[in-house]
Amino acid sequence: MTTTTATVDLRQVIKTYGSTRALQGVSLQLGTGVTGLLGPNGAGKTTLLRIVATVLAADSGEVRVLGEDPTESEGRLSIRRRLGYFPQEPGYYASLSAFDFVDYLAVLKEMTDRRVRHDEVRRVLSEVGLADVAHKRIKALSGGMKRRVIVAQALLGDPDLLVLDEPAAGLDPEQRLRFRETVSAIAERHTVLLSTHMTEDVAALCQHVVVMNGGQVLSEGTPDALVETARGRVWVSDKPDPAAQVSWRTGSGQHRLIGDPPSGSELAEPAMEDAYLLLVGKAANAEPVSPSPSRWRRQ
Amino acid sequence: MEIILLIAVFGLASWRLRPRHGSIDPASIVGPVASSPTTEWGVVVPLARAETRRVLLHPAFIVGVLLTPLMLVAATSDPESWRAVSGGVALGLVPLGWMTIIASNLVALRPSRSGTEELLAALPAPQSTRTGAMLATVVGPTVISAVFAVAALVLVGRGTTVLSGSIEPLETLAGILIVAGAVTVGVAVARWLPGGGWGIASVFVVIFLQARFLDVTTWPWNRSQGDPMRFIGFLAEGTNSGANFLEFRPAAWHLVYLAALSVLMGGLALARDGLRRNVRILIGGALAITLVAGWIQTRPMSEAQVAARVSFLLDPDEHQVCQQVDDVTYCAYQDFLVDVPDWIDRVGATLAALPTEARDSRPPLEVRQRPAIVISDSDCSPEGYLTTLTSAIASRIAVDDLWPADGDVHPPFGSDHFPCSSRDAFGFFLAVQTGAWAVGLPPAPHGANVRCVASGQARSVIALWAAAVASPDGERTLRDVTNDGSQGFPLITFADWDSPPTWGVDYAVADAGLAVDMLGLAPGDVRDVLADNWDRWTDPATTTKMLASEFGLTAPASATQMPSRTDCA
Repeated sequence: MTTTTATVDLRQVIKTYGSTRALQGVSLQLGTGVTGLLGPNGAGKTTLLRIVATVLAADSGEVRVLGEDPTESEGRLSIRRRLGYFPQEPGYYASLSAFDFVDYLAVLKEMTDRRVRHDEVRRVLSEVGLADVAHKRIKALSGGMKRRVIVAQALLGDPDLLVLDEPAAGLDPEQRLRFRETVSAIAERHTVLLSTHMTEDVAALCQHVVVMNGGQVLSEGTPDALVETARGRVWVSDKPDPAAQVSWRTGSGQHRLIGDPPSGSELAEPAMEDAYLLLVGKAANAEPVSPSPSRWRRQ
Repeated sequence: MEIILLIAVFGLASWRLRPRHGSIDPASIVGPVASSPTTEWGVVVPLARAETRRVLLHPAFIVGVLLTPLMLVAATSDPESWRAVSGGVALGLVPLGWMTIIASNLVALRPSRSGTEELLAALPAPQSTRTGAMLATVVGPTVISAVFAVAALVLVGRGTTVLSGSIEPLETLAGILIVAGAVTVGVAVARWLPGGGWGIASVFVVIFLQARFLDVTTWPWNRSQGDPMRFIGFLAEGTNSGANFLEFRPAAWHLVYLAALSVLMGGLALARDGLRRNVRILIGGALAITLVAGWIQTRPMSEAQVAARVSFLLDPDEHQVCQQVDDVTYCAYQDFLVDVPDWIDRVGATLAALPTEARDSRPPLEVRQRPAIVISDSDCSPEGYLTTLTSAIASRIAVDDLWPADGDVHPPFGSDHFPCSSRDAFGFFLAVQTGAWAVGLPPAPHGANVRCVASGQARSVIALWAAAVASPDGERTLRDVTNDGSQGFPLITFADWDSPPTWGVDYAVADAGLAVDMLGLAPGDVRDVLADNWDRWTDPATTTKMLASEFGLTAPASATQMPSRTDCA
């Protein structure tokens, strides 16, 4: 990926809240496709997404989104016209129907032609499987449906950049599959930045993954490359091993361990979750975190 | 107590309406803080349509809509003139304005209350566009208030009461503009003080401002009711002068003033998103117009305007329209010509109850309108008429010139009413004046409310009896007037009445009792007896005892005369 073609280009971005440094010199270049943002709570993911979504200004560093500078009014406007955003804690106008709420947001997306706008609202609601309940009040919808309403509004106008902050939380498995399909389809043409705790979503959806912790990018690359970093470092055992970086008891009664396996261990096929835990655990144990993230080549 | 209540309401509202889902400090949200040349202003119209729906369906606005018919009925009950009705409609719309402030404020605050601020901040329509759309919702409440106003005027017009004057749209428009301005107040408060409690607090502030600082008759001004400073109020009520031609109302300028104030509030709302050039121009222009319109309204009347109004009062011949019916001349100001047929009925009936000698023995009767010396204020308290006038007019009027002892019958502005009530006296007060004229008593007071006492004089009984005979429900009216007007004292002085009848005599309760007794006799028989010796019965020396004896009735006990009164000669 080159800088010139990057949809999102962040260089040494710093953001602080009082004495807390939420982002500590983050640099990222993201292009077309789905980029998954993984990290524990407080890693700085949401702050990063807010800066990309133009709702938060960076304290320092350089930010370019869709080739525009969000620190300039015209740049922000241009970005927002091509952006779909799902905030971490989206609010609703609960007394409105799903249709009316999305329609209202469509107006704010400058869709002024009533007929065209209504067609678009119907399309996005159908896309997220809410066509049948479009005229129900939001407060009467389930938690998952409410989140889908927000996903629907993010899809309005087929945005060039979709920024989604934990959109799949609360969705049932069927809805999540449908959601993945929708995002995949969009990602064929556009850029999707997806923050999630669900490594399986990242594995299934993302062509690129960024792992953050402590306001820094720990690593970025393809999901497979990330998984490969855990190869030979995941093993199973009948009992926990204090040498393991992370371990947990599985449903079969065996323990899955991550770290430096003792010789003769029964190695296991690594998964995305293992690689993620390995990275995050290592970062937590090794201070200070290196400011230069490791990189993998994209597939 | 009021302050404690205010704090309690504000605290409760703030707690109840606090932001519930805020995920980001609104202050840290960046946005296209200013609109730009590429801002899509076409968004405003559909957005305003959606927001208007929200304001109109907001519970606070619905409460206002439900209250308004009641307020309009209360504000236009017992109307006497179209001016009063036109102003009353405006007054009736004020509570709708209060509720509109709350509704528009809460709708404007909905993003922060619902936690959608972050979502909205990432959309291309800037906050200034959203504020513009919120301000454009002014159309909805304005239309609703206009519908209410028109409906109220139509309903009053279809009522049975014949009103003097004509509808004054500029007066009513003030109420509609107040509702419109309420939207801009609600939005401006939401933009600068983003908490639900502030919207409610602003309603109290508006009420407090109007009642304490914009009502010139209250502290800290304590000026006369007619002072032009009253026009800096949101709703500048009319004076109590009772006649349009005495009013000095720059009504059009007041509308300009209200409209400019509303635009000013709208400009302040938009200024929250940056003092752009067009916003600066808007605020500057609105402020300038507000100041100019306020200044023009508070200018004293010109010499010519004062002279014209003084002439209206002191030279009624030049301004009243007269007509003659059965040798009686009726003169009324143009606005009150609708009352003349009632006068003719009542005066004619009173004279018909009396012997023809009553007319023959007197100079031709003139029924000429003039203001009452004491009138009712808005709190149903008695008020000297001159205090209702602008001081420039009042200072040029001598009481003896305005209320000369000319012996004529003088109906006041408006119809006869019981104190502070809608109960109609059916012209009984005018009939008593006519009866007094017929028997040689002074019909109306003069000077500084000078009235004489005719206690024990037979002619006073005849005047009261004739009035009761000539008036619908006359016996009951006479009884009630006697009881209410005397309050247990021997004379009917109307001491507690806010707008007492304009009578030139303080009648005695005992004499009124005899008049009631005489109502039990056949009117024709009484008239015949009186006709046989009219001069005797109208002689001040003829006593009520003699009259009672003539009709075989019990003579009333002689009343104790009030020491400060003079006997009617």
